[in-house]
Amino acid sequence: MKKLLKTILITGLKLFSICAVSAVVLGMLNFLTEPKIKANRIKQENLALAELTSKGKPGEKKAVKDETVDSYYEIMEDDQPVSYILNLNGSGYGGPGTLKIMANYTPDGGLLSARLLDNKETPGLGKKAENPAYMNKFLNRGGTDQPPIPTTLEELTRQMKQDTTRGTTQEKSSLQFANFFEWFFGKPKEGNQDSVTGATITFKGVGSVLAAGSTYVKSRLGVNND
Amino acid sequence: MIKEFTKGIIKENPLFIIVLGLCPALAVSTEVINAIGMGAGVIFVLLGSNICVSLLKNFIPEKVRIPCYIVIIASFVTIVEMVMEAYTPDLYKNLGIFVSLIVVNCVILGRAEAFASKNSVGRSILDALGMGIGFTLGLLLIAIIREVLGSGTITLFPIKAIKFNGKLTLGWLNKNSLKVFAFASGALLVMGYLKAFFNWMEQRLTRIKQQELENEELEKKEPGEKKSKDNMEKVS
Repeated sequence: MKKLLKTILITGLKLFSICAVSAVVLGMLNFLTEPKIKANRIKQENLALAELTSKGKPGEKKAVKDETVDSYYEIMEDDQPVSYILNLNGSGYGGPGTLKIMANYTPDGGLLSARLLDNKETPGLGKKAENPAYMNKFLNRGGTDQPPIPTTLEELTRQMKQDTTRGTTQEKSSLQFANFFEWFFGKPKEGNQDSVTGATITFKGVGSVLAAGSTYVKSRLGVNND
Repeated sequence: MIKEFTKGIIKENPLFIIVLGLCPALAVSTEVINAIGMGAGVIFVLLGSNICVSLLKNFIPEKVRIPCYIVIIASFVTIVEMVMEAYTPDLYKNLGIFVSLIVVNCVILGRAEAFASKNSVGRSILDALGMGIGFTLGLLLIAIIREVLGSGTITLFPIKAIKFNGKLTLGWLNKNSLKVFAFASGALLVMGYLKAFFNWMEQRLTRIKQQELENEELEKKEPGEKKSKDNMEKVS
């Protein structure tokens, strides 16, 4: 019994010592690289902020305590808030908190533009969301007189079909796209949209984060809060 | 000793012969720059983990050897991640989740378990370099074929000094690219053809070696018999 305990203790200590050395080395490297990584992130955020601000000037960054919203900028024009740019985070293919998005909303929660920043999505699948054109399917949604921001592929397909019947822009391509989705993923069934590929998980993640941002603007910052 | 280095490049190439680490290899081989970055990361992690495992082979208890190897490998991967994120943020962004996934790359754990834990540091370094370079060359080959045919470009690192933006555009191919090679199906197609080529080459080499061995044996056994056989052939 004593021998067994001794073996277990020695094995545990050896494993612990390897882990401890690794932790110290990584801690030291983190100390060296952290300032550079932070500077890179600030540079990336400033670039995205400049791209997203179509009119007005961004005010100071305000940090908030929220599950999805990390911080926001108020965009002012003639002393009036014209939009809000939010720093959002959500769950992607890399797990919770790995999807960082910057999005510009009108005061009633309508999405004007969005950019995917840091992420751990799969190259070739979810990573396609980095392309600015990817966000087009979420634009002009979420506002008072607009359809809600789609959080599933089925919702997007349904909205596209409605757009077509209402006779809005991009009639043909929109219907073709919707039909392609149905052909590729099968006919939508409620609650059956989980974990098909990295692409669908990313779509769900991006849609949910943007929808949460819209709700935040509506309830805490925009028109309903005047 | 030099065999430990050269075996990983063609004879035991991790991608085309042993067929290890295919998932990240196929996923990141859309651009040449990704292949270079991923290859460099794998060489570094392979080298570091092989050295550490070989040095600690008498210290690591047999029963917890796999967790120990994983801690060592994960530490090196985290080092690669931090350095990449700090100094090559664009490449880090492109490689995405596959940098973290080097931890579970079978090439690395496989070499730690099958080679470094049983051999000296010197041999382990040569093995790591050979396998790492073999993996990188394999990745580069797939990436060059895919990018040239699929996009008509070759993406490398930008060099400010000579005003090179990092992208070589291949005129006609750029306008008439075969898009399938840029997609996942193209990766599998290229991999399939390259694997078939390597199989053919391996079989050919084995046949040549066997023939040489047979000839040598025949010469050693009965040189007189061979002469008489030649004479008989001449007479006939």
